[in-house]
Amino acid sequence: MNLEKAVSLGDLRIQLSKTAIRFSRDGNSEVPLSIFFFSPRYLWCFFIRSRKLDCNTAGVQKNGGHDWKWGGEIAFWDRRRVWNNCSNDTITLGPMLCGFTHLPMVAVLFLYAAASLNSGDRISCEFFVGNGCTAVLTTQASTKVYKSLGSRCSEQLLEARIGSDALLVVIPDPVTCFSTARYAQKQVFRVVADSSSLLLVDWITSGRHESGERWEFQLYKSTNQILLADDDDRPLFVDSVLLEQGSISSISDRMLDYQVIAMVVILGPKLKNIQNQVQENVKRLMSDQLHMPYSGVRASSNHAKPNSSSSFNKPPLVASCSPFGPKGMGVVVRIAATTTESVYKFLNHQLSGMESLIGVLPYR
Amino acid sequence: MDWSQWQLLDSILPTGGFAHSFGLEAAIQARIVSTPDELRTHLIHLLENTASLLLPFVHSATTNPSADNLRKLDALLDATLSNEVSRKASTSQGSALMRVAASVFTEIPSLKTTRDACLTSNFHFHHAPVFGLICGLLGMDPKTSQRGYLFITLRDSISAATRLNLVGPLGAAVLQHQVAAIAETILKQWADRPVEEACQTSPLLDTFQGFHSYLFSRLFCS
Repeated sequence: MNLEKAVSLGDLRIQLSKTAIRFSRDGNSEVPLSIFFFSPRYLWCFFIRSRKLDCNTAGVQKNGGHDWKWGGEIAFWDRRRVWNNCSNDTITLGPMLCGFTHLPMVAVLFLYAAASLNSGDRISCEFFVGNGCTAVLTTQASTKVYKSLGSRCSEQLLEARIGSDALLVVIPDPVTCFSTARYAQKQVFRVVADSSSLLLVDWITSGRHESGERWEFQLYKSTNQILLADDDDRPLFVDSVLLEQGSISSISDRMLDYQVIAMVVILGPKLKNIQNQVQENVKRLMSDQLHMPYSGVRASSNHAKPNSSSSFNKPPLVASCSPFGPKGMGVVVRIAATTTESVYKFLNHQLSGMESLIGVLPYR
Repeated sequence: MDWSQWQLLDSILPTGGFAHSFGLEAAIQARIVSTPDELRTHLIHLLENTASLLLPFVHSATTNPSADNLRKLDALLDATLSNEVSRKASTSQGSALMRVAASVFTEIPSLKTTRDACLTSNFHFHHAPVFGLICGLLGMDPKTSQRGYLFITLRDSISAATRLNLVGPLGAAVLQHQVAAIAETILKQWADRPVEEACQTSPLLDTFQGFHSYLFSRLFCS
């Protein structure tokens, strides 16, 4: 993995690998991303914030309402520098400035875009996590996808390269698609075998299920791929979920009574302890829920009341955990639950070991 | 050709398909499937999921039955079947099928040579591509081979349901016939797609399959 070297700026030496974030967006609304970028080699706290520039004051022509220019602000412990980068909706984060203290360093990058995706919006991001570095991607709130106009689809593409001995943690809030929404996302992670670590959480809720809107969106597609960068991009893990309203069965039928589904991928040497712990926990949790029917299922169903709904018997949260890859390099956990809170609790509990690695407790 | 095709689809062919319940046993023990109606629903979702995820592999192997393509499909499917239970079920059925086909259909020498070539490399013998390959070499067109794959999935899961005492043998036969009509609709919707589009349409099934290994006492391997 040949990541660009950092550059000196003034009297501060930069040792971090360059993180390039490229935005390209069609459409005229915004999408939020909060990125905590944390490197163990650097000891200052610094912030980079970007905000949408008002095109009139910046003297930039709006182009049919679709070309927004972005600005940014870098704040340090003692000085503030406003930085504008307005070319082609591309933000390139240049070399990071840092100093030395005894404190662990956290760089907090807030990229503001709207909290909602409207139909036809397309967002793509690319991340490079340098060798030995750690990055955490999260969201401010759940990504809400509103109803689609015509058959246009909202799309998100995330591509990330994780260097040797590096860790990328992707812990978003769930996607919520509202009635008739259409949404597709693709996330591609290129890793170094037995060296890169990745924690990926990908989840979706059924909609505004408290108001009775359950699995009423038109289309949701989520593709996650983990490729081995040092083996010609050989696929290590490929998962694609497509939920589309169909003539044979509706999405609601296929999801039974569950309102939330989630997938967690835990991969790499830095997360080995968490992998083992989660496997044990899920096995214990599910073994309690599974039992042999006493006298054969047919006999018991004959005695059941005609209108008794067996949904009351279904476990409110089911999960399974499975290793994948050579030598069980990674582990994938799949969860289905009747409430969003129960999944937050589950994730918070299972990922509590992350606090020592990234300094935050996910899904508090 | 018909005799060979029927033999391939007959449950008496010793490929070990009877050892797998396709997530049904786990679903029963988790009280997700307990009535014949719920079984019917489960079967339809299973067929749809099989169609969206595995038919592209069957189709590709039937239309391009070369060892190179088979290797590529096998590697991709191994990464796609992230669930260890399904992965092991697929490789055990696929390798058994390959071994049986190479021994039975001796008039097709490429079956044995392909099998021998694959035994030496890092090949998993996943079921769907192997099934597609054999169908292609036996002269089946892609539509028939994909229909055949859905047929054997339905056949084996219904057989598992009778052995799990969820439905009696006659009831199973009735159910199979009813679901077959729906299976044909599923086939029409999902046939002939490229492997890049393979996806799961019932993600819950993967979750249920996954906790098969947590069952304390079980009849089936998966």
